[in-house]
Amino acid sequence: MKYETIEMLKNVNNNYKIEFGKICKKLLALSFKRAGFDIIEEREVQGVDIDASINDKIKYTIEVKTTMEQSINIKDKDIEGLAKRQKDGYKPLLAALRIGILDDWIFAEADYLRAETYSIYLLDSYNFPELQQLITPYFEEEVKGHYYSLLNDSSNKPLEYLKKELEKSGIKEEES
Amino acid sequence: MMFTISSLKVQGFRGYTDCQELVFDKDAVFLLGDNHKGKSSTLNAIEWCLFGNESVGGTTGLRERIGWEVQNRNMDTSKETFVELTLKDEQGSAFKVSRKYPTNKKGALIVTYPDGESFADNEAVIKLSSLIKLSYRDFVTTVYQRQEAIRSFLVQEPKDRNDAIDRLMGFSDYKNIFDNLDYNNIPKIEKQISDAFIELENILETTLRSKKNDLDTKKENAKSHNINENQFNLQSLKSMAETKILQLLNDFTQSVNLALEEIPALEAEDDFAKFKNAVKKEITRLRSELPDLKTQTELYKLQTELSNMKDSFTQLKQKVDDNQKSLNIFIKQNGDDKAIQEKINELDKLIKDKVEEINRENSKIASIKYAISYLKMDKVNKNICPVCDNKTEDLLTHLETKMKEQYNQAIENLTQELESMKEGLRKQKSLLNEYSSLIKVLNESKEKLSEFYKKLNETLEREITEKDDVEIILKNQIKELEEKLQSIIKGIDSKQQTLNGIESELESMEIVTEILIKIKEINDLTNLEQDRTFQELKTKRIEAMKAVNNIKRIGLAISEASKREAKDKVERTSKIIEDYFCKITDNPAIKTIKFEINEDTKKIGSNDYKFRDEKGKDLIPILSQGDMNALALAIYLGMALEGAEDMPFSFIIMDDPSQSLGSHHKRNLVDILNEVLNRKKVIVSTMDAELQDLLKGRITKMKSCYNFEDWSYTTGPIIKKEEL
Repeated sequence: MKYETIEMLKNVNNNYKIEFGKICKKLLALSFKRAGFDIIEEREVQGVDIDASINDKIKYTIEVKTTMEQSINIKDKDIEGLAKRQKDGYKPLLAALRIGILDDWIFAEADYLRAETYSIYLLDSYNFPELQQLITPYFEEEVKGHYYSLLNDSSNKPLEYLKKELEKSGIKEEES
Repeated sequence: MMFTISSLKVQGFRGYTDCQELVFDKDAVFLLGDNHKGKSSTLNAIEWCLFGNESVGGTTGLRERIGWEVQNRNMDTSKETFVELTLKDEQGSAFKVSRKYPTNKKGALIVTYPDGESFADNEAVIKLSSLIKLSYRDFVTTVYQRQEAIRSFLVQEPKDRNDAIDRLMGFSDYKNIFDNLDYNNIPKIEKQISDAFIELENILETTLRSKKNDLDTKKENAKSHNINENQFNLQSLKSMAETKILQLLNDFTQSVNLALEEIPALEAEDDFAKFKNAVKKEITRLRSELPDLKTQTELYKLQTELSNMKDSFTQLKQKVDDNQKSLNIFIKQNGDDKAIQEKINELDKLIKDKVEEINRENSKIASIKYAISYLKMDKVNKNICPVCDNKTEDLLTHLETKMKEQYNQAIENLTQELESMKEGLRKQKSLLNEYSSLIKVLNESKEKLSEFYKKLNETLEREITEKDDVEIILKNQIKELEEKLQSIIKGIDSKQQTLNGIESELESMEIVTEILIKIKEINDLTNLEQDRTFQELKTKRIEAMKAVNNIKRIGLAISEASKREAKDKVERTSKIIEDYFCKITDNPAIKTIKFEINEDTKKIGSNDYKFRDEKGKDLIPILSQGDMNALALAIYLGMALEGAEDMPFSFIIMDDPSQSLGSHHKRNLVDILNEVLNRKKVIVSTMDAELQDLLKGRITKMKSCYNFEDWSYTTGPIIKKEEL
């Protein structure tokens, strides 16, 4: 990922440590929208984080994880949630982002993932590179596009700000 | 199909040299004798014949098998090393398995069916495995109780006892797989790869941060030079090169009528150094070749020359004046050369007259001197004049007086006068010389002045005579030159300023270039992910991680399989193991023994075994060596007899089973063997005299004994069969 994007994300993280993961998730949902996915659902509390599909043919269900460290912890509920959506015809993915300049979103095909702690680079071996190449530039644009607003115009309520942005983009958000 | 062992032929294997045959025709067969007499070689021969290299080396899980020599090193090398095993099925049909050493030679393994059909090598391997349907691992846990298995169980440290039980249970293969996969090092390798990338990232981030700071400083510097942010691009740099440097240089050279040397084009930031050097060199050249500069130099030279001339003229003129003044004073004092010459002529004449007068007087004196001499002669009348012969009284005296008083004085006076005249003459002549000198000096200074005029005329290119006021003329000329020089200097300054301006644009360009280079460096670093080498490295990392992941998955699958198999085995055998253990030990303190197996959480792929009493407490700490030996035997017997009817072999082999058993243990073991003999043929090898007696005395089935009486290098074991 670009250095400036990582720097922006680090600043966002410094300002909103608690909300950071959810901010990234919403920005990722916006990126999928910009990348041409027509139906996107983003879940706030229960279930897999994002469902994204194109013409009901390409269907991804995505659990989103971010980290500043070297590893990602996958819980049983994540695997169960993904498995549940897989039964509905979605391809299960784990979207993992480590905030480092040599890192990009990893879209790990989650079929064989287990509930355990994965090093980010081990997870990379499950990566779905086509999706990574498609989404990363849009994500960088989204970060750049919302960076100033997140830090200055969101009145310290970044999630509310992004929720409005999701609504504007036509992304459905389930709160429970 | 179930096989029993019928006979064994051995030659050159381990302790054997010559060919010997053992026939296993009774249900119980005992190999008896002291240590190192060939008993274990006999049992190893069965193992090797069936499983070949699988029974050799470290993969057996036995340390003793590492570097294990199959061939007897003392044997006659012309003889073959082989083992031939005859197995019989339920119908009594004989199948022969023959294995030769070395095992990689053609015909090393031959399997012969009862109908006489033989199969060799790969075909024989397939036939053999389809007949016995038992892996080596299962063979050494369910058929062949190796003495090393009990020994290691007894001597292992408690923490390593799990390994020994693994061997008894037949799980060493799993452990070997994990060891070969270096499975427990995988997280370390994974971490090393991750750490290497994180370190690379840290270096990258530190470098980027440092470069960003550099860039910010440079941008601040640029601002102070009135360079805007929108100029930080290559296009702007190229435009600066074109309009601020090349165009201005071109205009300048045209204005001063000089040709512009070729300057290399600036196409990228990296060209700037070359471009800058060329421009600097060109500016230096232009500075030195400015036409005004040449004029200025010439005028400076002329100005200096005129100034020097002015000084020279003043000096020359002063000299002439001084010389003239000296001459005038001289003339005034001594007259001119004519007057002096006249005086000299006059003095010459006077001296000549005076000399004549002196000569005259001298002649007179000479005459008088002769007269006096004459008069003083004898016989001369002193009173008669010798000239006139007139008589003159006292003539001699008179002459002498006259001479003394008159002529000597006169001569002296005349001489003084003459000397005075001569002195006067010398003085006049000296004056004349002095006059000449003055004239000469005057003329010389005049000559120099005249030459100066000539030079001045040439320099000023106009006719200037002594009538002109040279000093004023020169002063005016110098002033005129000064004015010209000032004008030229002003012009030069202006041109130098123009060149300075161009040079300062170079500085601006340099600032922009440094910023562009810094931006490029930052971009290169931030675009490291696009770099081919990094991509290759990343691909390799992904491949390595895939391999790590695959190993992990293989490991997990093996671990699962191992766990399932272990649980299954423990479930199936725990009861029978408990029975055998309690029977062998017959210890009132141990009524039950619960056999548990768990995964070793610290070491994936390893099992953690627990033997607990009825209260769930670990029994191992209270077991004696004999109990431990009994436990090992119970595990073996449990493994060998659980589902014994489904096994391919209807015999079990026990090698040195009573290593630490007490007498009652041994007796109980023999009683158990009586039970076993109802289901299986039993082959026992022992050096234990007590056990030998118990076997001979308490085994109720028909039995035969092979007594291994001795062993020698040349003959191998000396075996005697004893029918009981």
